[in-house]
Amino acid sequence: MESGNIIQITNLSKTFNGNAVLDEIDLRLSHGENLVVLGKSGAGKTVLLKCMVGLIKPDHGDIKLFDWDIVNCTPAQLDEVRTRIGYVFQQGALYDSISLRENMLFPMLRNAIFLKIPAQEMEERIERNLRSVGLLDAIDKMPAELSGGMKKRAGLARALMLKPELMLYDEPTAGLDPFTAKEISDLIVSIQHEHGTASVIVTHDMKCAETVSDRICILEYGKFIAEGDYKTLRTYHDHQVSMFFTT
Amino acid sequence: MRTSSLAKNIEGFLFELTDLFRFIGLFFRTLSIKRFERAEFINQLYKTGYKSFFLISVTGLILGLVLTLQTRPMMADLGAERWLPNLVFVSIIREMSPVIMALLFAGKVGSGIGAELSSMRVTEQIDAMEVSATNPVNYLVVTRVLATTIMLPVLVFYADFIAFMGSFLGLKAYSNISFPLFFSQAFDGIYFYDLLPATLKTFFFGFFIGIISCYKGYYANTGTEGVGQAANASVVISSMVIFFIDLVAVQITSLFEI
Repeated sequence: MESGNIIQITNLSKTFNGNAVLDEIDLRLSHGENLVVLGKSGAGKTVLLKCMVGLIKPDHGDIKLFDWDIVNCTPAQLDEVRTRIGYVFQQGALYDSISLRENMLFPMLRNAIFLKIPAQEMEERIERNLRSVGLLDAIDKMPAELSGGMKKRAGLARALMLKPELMLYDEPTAGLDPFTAKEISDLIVSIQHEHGTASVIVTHDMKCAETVSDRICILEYGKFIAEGDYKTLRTYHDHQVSMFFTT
Repeated sequence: MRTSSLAKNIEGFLFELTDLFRFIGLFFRTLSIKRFERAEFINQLYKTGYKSFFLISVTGLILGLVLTLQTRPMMADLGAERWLPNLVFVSIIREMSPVIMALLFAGKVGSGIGAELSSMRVTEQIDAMEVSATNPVNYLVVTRVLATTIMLPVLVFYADFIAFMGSFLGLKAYSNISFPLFFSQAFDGIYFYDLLPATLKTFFFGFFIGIISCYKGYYANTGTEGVGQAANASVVISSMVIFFIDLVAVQITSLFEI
């Protein structure tokens, strides 16, 4: 029986070349909740996300995802947990030697034995997810033929292929024009509502944070300096917090 | 000051060597336990092998032709023109073709693998593979290393044949030699053990070109500079290793008096 929290992080620390990027961090995420981790560039937001999925090993601390100990589990157990997570990379990270359709198919084919997804169901998921991000017409295109915004939407569609219970977004609106950024933010909200997924969104885009967040944590110098919903944090008098809302 | 810099370089080299051997260990471990990615392996055979045929054909033809044209006057002066096809063919299959084709292969395929994997690292495609519960070593490294290990000997065999034809054309330009005569003169005195060490070493050449290129690409530094460095290092290190393996192979074959 899993506990109420999808993510439970305790005392997480990570240092690079003597520089503490994450310093004794605690974090939890409930089912169906959208958590925004806000911070300046280089604050350690991406490192935090990568620690969560086992791409970076922390120096110390516990990370529990769906009650699995991510830090100490075996590679096979980690793979099992990863099938329940969708990760949207900053630049989409589409495999550029294969078409968009093959990109969508990739995670399903690799996990076909484990997840037992029938071929018909795979095709349906590809069509459904690409339609939901407005890229069904580009299904046979190569990633090089897509714009930056399209790549991000495609990356989002690919992250949904295994029907994840948890979505992790790394700077989903960075480098996009305001219209495309709004589209992506709206997509994140609709994914939360339609699929019932919980999400962690790391960003420094305040508009995006306002649209998608149920709760915001502000990361500064390796620590969370404030936590709350958007409206509450906006009224904070602390300079380090208020600067996010005034700039 | 100079000593400490030398010590640092040696230390760096030893660390790199340890990491490379660890990577080789990871390759064999993954090969033995993970599900084989057959489709990607066939794709890599096509990319590394089929797409190298033109380059290998041109080089093989010129190799046979030039070697014959350069050697013929000397052999004619010595009155040993009859031995020319055999001399050229033995030098091609035992040494020239394996080493030259391996160097070409390192330049074309090795640099390609290094650049491809490093750009995948830089653009987080390898991370994306990992978070979608796909083992990137199994999908990217195992398939490529097996493809280079298998395809290089095939390409060298093919290059031997093309060089043989080139040699015939070179000789035909100056004499009335018939193909059956050229064939019998070329193969006169060629034995199985001329071919065996040459073939065996091409498997090692192919394996090390693949594994070094994958290693440099897989652990590339982030940034576009890292892509260039990985492609460059793949070729340079692979070329050095080819000569080293060749040296060892020659020592071993001399030991057994082959």
